[in-house]
Amino acid sequence: MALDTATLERQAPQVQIIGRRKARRWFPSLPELWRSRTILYYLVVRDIKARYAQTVLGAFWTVFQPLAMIGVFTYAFSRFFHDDSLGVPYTLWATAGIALWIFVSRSVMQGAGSLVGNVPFLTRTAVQRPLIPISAVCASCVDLLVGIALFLVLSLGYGVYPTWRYLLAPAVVALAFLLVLGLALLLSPLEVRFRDVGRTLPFVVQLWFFLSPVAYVPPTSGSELARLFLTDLNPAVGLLESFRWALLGTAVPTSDLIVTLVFTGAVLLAGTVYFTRSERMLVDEL
Amino acid sequence: MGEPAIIAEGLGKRYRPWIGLKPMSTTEHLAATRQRLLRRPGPWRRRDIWALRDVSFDIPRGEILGVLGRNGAGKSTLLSVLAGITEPTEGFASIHGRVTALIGVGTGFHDELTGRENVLLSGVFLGMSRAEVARKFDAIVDFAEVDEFIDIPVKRYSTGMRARLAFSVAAHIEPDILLVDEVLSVGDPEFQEKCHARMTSMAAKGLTGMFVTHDRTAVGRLCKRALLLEHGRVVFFGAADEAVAASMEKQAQDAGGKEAALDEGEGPSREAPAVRFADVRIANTNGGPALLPHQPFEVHVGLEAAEPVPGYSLGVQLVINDDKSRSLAGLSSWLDPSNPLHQLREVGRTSLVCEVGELPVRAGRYSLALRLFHDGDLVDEVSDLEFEVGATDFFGAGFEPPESFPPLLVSHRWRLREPTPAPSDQGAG
Repeated sequence: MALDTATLERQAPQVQIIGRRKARRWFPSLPELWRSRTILYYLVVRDIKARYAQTVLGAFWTVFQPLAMIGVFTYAFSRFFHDDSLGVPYTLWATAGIALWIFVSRSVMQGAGSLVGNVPFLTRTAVQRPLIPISAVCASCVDLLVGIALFLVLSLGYGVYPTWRYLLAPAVVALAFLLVLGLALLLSPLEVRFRDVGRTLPFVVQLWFFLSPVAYVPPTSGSELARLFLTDLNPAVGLLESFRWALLGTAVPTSDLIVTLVFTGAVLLAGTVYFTRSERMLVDEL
Repeated sequence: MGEPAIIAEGLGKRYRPWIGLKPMSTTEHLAATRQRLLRRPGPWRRRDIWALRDVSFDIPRGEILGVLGRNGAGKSTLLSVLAGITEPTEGFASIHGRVTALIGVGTGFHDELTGRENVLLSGVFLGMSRAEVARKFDAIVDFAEVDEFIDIPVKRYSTGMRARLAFSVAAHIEPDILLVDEVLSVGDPEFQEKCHARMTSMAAKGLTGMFVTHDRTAVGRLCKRALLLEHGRVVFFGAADEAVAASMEKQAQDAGGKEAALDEGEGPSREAPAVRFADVRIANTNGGPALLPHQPFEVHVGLEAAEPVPGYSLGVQLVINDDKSRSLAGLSSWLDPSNPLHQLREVGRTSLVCEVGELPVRAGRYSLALRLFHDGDLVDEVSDLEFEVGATDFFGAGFEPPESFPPLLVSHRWRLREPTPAPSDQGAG
């Protein structure tokens, strides 16, 4: 069987022309990416396997990391936040936020460093370049799944049961995915050119954490201008609020969600275009 | 026959590295951009380097083309362009069929993962389906001879083992076109032989190959035709044995009258390494060429730097091989604590002498390979500098050890153990 397909391919070899691309593209070719989906799958597998290679506890770390974070925040903040001010148990409120946040922060950082971190791979194989940041973001989904599983276990413990709104959680996750994908596509070629990106990003992500309602509600005092830039235009606010609305039934986000949608669209568009435009230079600049 | 597999027309690849000073910080990048836009001269300059220029050739299906050339001649760049890894600056190539490229040791191997995982991953990345890899897995591992190590991370593999596994994966993909960079040179001779045999048998089934190597005899045996690259240009394209002869001639020029070769090769497209060997020569302590075993001799090494570089960034490595390409000894400037390179603040043109204490080998032909490192990167190489060691009666036995005897001469003496055991004890022991 397999021999036959091999012979068939040999009889009609595809002709590929290699040359300087005349018309420069603005977007990657989706059919080409779709054909490489097996490669994407194995890139993700490789990332996940490599992440826990040579750790004694292996995959346990994925569970332990969000668990430890939730433990620390519950201990630190439960004194200030009373369950009635949030309307839901603080632990659940924080778990939902942390699950999503670990995914966002991890995939932005891994995605931005994905090209620089895969030099031998990029200089030796001709795999579709966008697959590299995409796979980094996909590999971080493991953390999200573990975080959600943790949330479900804890919520049953607190006697909070699934509602119909759970069905909308995947949509929020998809939105988060597109947002970080856009950021990864935008930042990864930028880091190839300016390694400074990799140095700065941890601080920026840290700052973003403190400005977003991940584990606590950031104080809203300050000038109007500061509020506008730090809270109203922060795409993470809409994301986290929608996620909590779907899982816990907190207040329905409206304007924040619109900000997130617009921001995600803009970042995804900019990232895709920037990545495609700089793609052909990548290998030479690495 | 006749049906083409690869046709390349005027391929060129330009790199534009910064020379001397390069913008390091973001503000410097902005300043350099401004300087370029305003066409003002400034401290940051780029230089055009053509790693490939005007490369045209064709390979009919079922033929293996050898690619010869010194380091930095553009061989790897050519393979990268044909493999679709990097885009050519000019020209085009048409590739008829599925291409697999084996560039560098372990294509897509991940250090932390085991051999088993890497075979699967690299097979998929090179274009196989999962089922295909699973079916061929045993054959791949058998061919690479790494059965016992298949479940340990590849970072614990030797370079040779990685190269064997990588070649084995690529060889089992059954591509239409296989591009092989110098990866095989790190394997042992037996494995290289096996790989060559595999390529020949694949070629008989219609595989087209391109084979970059320093091993001229392999080109002679495997390839009908060969391409000789120098400074990114094709200097010879034709029958393999003629190409081998042409490359030998080039090398003789390089090793002997390097200056002459330099002037000839000077051109806009030359890919000049920062430092290179200017001339290399072996001499006995009297300055003559004849060497005797266990007698000191000297290796004279001339270095030449395009722009002065600090001496501590340089290292010279010498490897002495016998006529069967077995490495006998390694010498290195790093191994000498009083190495004069460390005292030199700037190296422009320098002549070094390596005083070799003694070479305990029997009469025969040997060769010397020299490698020059700059900041840890291999920047120049002179291989197969042959020399002859004359016969002496080293052991005082009145005759030389036979040809089949190992090459090292180690002085030794035989005696009877004291006290001599009594004849009656012999049966008991």
